[in-house]
Amino acid sequence: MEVGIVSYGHTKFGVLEQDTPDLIKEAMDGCLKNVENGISPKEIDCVIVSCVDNAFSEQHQTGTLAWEYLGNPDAYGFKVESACVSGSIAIYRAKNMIERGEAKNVLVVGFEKMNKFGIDRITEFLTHGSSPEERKYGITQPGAYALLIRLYANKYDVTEDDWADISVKNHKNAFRNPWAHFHKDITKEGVMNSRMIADPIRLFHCSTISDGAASVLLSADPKKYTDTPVFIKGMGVAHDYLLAIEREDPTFLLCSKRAADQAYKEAGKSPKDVDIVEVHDAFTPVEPMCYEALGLAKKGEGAKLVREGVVMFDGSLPVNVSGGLKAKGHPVGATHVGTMVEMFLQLRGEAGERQVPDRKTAIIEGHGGTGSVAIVSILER
Amino acid sequence: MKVKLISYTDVTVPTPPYKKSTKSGIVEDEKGKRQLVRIEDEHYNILKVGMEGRIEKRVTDYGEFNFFVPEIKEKKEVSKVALITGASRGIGKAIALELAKRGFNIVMNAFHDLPDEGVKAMEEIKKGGREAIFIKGDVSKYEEVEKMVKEIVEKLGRVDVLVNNAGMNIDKLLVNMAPEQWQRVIDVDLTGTYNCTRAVLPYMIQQGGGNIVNVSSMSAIDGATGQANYAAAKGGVNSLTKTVALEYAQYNILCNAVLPGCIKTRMTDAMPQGMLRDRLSKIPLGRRGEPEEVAKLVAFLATEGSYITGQLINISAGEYV
Repeated sequence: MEVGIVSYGHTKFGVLEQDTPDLIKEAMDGCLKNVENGISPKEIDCVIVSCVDNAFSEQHQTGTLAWEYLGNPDAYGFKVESACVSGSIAIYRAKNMIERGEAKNVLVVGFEKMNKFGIDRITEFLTHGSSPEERKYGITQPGAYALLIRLYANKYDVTEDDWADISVKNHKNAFRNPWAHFHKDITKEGVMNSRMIADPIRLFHCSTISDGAASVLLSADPKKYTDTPVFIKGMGVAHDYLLAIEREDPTFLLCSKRAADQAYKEAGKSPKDVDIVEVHDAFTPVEPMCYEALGLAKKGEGAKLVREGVVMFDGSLPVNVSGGLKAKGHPVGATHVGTMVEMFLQLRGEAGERQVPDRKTAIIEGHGGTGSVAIVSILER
Repeated sequence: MKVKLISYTDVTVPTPPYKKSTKSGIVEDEKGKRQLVRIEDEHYNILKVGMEGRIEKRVTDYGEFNFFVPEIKEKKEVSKVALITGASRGIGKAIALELAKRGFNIVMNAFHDLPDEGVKAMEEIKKGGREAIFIKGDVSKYEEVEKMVKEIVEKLGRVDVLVNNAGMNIDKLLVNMAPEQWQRVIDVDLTGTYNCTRAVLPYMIQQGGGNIVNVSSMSAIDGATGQANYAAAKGGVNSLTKTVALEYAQYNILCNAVLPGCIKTRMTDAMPQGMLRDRLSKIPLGRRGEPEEVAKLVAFLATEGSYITGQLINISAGEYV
C-alpha cells in the first residue's frame, strides 16, 4: 500500500498574534477545507500533534485540543516530540499507522508558539534539547553547531563566503513565499558583518524564532480524496549520540545519511533521482553537510553545489525554495510539517510564484540536536 | 596529558545559569579521545585549531570543569590602551597621567588644540615609557568619534579603557536658557558619552572585555540652580552608566560613573569668592578636591575594580552623605 498526502493547511510563519489553539485550528481547518473531493471528520481516525516544548506554548493536552477541532468523537489525538524533527516523526508515525492498518486517514498538525518570551527564555528552552554535558558547559544550540562547523571548516574546503551565499539564497527564496517569516533582502556583506552569536556563527546564519502551524492529511486511499495525491515513497529515521563529541565523525551527519539510506531503499530511489530538496538549515553553514548526508555531494564537497549554482532557485537541484528554516522560519514543531507541505505543493505544481517547473521526486532532510536524530522523506507525485 | 584543541566557540547569547558569554572548545588527546573544555577569556583571542595545551580541573561557581590551558610558546606583551575624552586639562589630564603611570598607552582627546599643559602631560607620559597620542575631535559628532576610535585601533591596536570625561556647562536659570544652550550641553555631555561608548563597544567585545568610566556630577543627584542642562545631561549619563553595565556585563565590560563634588578646575576657579566660601562650608573636609584625587578613583575603577559595575560613586569629601 502506498500512503499518500491528500491535503494541507499552513499558517503564516512569523511573530504572530494568534496563540496555540488558534494556530492549531487555522492549520487544521485549512487542511480539511483543501481536500478536493471533500472529507467528513468521521473519516479521520486520528490526529497527531507535533510540538517541541510545551514551555513555549504553556499548553499541554494539545492532542485533545486537536481532537476537539477535528469534530469526530470516535477519533483520538496525541502529541509527539523529537526535537526539530517533531513534525517528521508525527508524519512517520501516521504513515506507519496507515500501513499497519491501524488507521485509514490520519491528520498531522505541527505547531510552535515561540514568541511568548524573551530571547533568554527561548535560548534556555531550546538548550533543553542539548546533552547534559553541553548544557553544563553553557553550550547552546548555536554553540554546539559552531563547534561542529569550525571542525568541518578546518577539515574541508568551505568559506564564510559560501555560508553567506546560502543565507542570501534562502532569503531570496523566501521572498516568493507568502508564508515566510522574512521578506527581507539581505546582502552577503550584511551576513558577513552581522553580530556574532556563537563564533563562527553569526546572526544572519541563524534560523528564525517563529510562531506557526502546518498540517497534512495522510490517507490509505488517496485517490478517493484527490486526483493528484503526493505519495510518500520512503521514510527513514535514525539516531546518533546526543553529545556530538561522542559521534564517530562529528563533521558528518551520520544520522541523516542512515535515515536517507532507509528512505532511498524503501522508495527504490537513489540521489540521482531527486530533483527538488528541502534540508534542515537551522544554521546555514550546516546546509552543505546536509547535501553530503543525502548523497547529493561527496563528503566535504557540499559547498561546491553552492558555488556552482546547482542548489539555487534556477539551478538543476534547487534546495530550500521555501526559504528554508533560515527565512521561511523555524517554529520547531511545525517546521517539518511545513517542509512536507512545500514539497506537496511543488510536486503538484501548485507552489505559485516559487514553483519550480516539472519536479517529480522530492527529498526532505530534517535533523535535531546537531545531528542526534534525523528523518528523511522521499515524495513523488 | 597533552591535548590538542580541535574546535572552539564563544557563545555570546548565554543560557541560564550563565549570565555572560561562555567560551568552550573540544580537545583531543593522543589516543583520539575527545572532551569538552572551558576556555578562559584571556586565552580566547590567541586560539587556533591544532593548538596544544593541557587540561586543568577547576571548581567554579557553576561546578567542576575541565579548562584548556594553551601552551604559549612566546608570551606576547600586550600594552593596554586608554582613551580619555576632554583630556587637555583638569580632571581629564590628571586621569591620563594616572592611567599612564599604571601602564596604559594613552589617547588624549579634546575639542580644541592641546594647550601647553596638555602638551606637557603628553611629554611626561612619553618620558615614562608609554605611548601618548592626541586626537582632536568633537565627541558630540558620531562620525568624528567613530573615526577617532578607528584611528586608535589602527595606531595602538586596541582600546581597553574609555573615560568619558569631555563635558561642558553653560549655566543659566532655565527661563534664560536658550534652546541651543540647552541642546549644546546635552549634545556634548550626554550624547558625547553615548557616541564614545557605542564606538568602542564592538572593539571591547571582540577583545573579550573593557572598562568604561563616565565622569558625571553630583548635580545629577541633587540638581543645581543654574545648571538645568548640565544636571539633566549628567542624570542621563548616570542612567546610561547603569544600562551599559547591565547590557555588556556578559562581555566582561564594566561601566561605572564617578560623581565629583567641588573639584579644583576651571569651573570652580570661576566661581565668585562668596559662592565658593559658601560651598566650602558644606564640605566636611573643608577644601576643594584635586583633579588627581578624582583621577585615582577613576584609575582604581579602570584597573582594580573588577567586581564593581553599574555604580555611581560620589567623590565629594563628605559634601553628600
